[in-house]
Amino acid sequence: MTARFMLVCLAIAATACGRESPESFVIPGPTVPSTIPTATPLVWDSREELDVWVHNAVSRGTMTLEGSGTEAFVRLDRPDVEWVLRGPDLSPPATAIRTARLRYRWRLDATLSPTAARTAWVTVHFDAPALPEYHYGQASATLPLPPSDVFTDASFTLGSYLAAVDVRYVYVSSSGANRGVFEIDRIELVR
Amino acid sequence: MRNGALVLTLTMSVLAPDLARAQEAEMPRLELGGIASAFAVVAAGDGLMLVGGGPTVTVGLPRRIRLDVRAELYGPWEQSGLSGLYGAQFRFPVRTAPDGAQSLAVSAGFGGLFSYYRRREYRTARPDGSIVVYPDYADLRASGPRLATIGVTHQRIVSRRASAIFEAGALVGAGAVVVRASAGVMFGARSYR
Repeated sequence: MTARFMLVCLAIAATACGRESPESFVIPGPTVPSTIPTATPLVWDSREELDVWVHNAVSRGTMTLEGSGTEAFVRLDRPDVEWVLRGPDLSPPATAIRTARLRYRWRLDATLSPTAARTAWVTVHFDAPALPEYHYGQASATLPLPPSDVFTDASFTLGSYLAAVDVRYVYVSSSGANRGVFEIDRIELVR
Repeated sequence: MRNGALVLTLTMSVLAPDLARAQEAEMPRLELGGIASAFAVVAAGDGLMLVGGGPTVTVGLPRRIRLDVRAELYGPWEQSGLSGLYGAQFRFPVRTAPDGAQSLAVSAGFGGLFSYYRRREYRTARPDGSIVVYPDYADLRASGPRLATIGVTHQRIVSRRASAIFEAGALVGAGAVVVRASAGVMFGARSYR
């Protein structure tokens, strides 16, 4: 009995047990079918092209489409409230993308004090299944955008530690800005 | 005051017959109990102090040698996990009171470390409506028995079914020397007589 007991003790003591953490996974969000082909591949500029960004199951915030043709732009009247602008699903995925370029205009509310925060923090998210595992399929680039009375281009580029990725869709969000009007005239994915 | 005297009297009346029976005390083959310990890392790290405790099973072997098998959790404790020490040690009696109610033994054995970590499932919602799910996860790991243990143990029978045990010793291995002091209570599978 004693010998058997000791053998059991030794077996327990010598065992180095443990198991790998189960893999995390992603439950996909709503899809946004692409309704029309864009005049220029991977560029959304006209009212019809920007419409799919504004009117879908994911985009939210106080936003309207203004203007017509290529002069059209998305107007966000409450940039101080969280907003999301989801692009259409790209089929096939856009290959070798590193950068998204936004042409924006950011005008602060005139009643804000001169010391009020002036930057709008905007993030572009790239949904790309081939990203390293710890990204769970999405990488992002964030920029603090300074105010601008005229439309200005801002390039959101993935970190240099990431290779160019094949993108299934892109969305733009902001978690903070002061009162004012934020407008987006054009969205482009750049290889 | 009167209450204190009453408690003392009752206690003595409960223990006295047992102590009398312990005139010819004999250790039971199997004991179950628990100990509480304080650990001090003295030869590695930065003077870490730990407290712990856990169950002990003691088996009587020939020549009055006792085998203790124990697992002790030690803290400070984190909410997400537990760490502990497992081990087995042999106790070799060096002195026993004539009535057998007290004994002094030297001990030697081995041990190792184990840890238990638990993460409950949590989810992160992203702005596009997708959700990253981190599943529930539990992990128990044990190192090999790389620690050597030595010590001195004093055991005293305090009632027909219970004994008190006091230990002082050291754990050596894995680049550290840990001094340890323990106290506990053991219960015999049959009476101490």
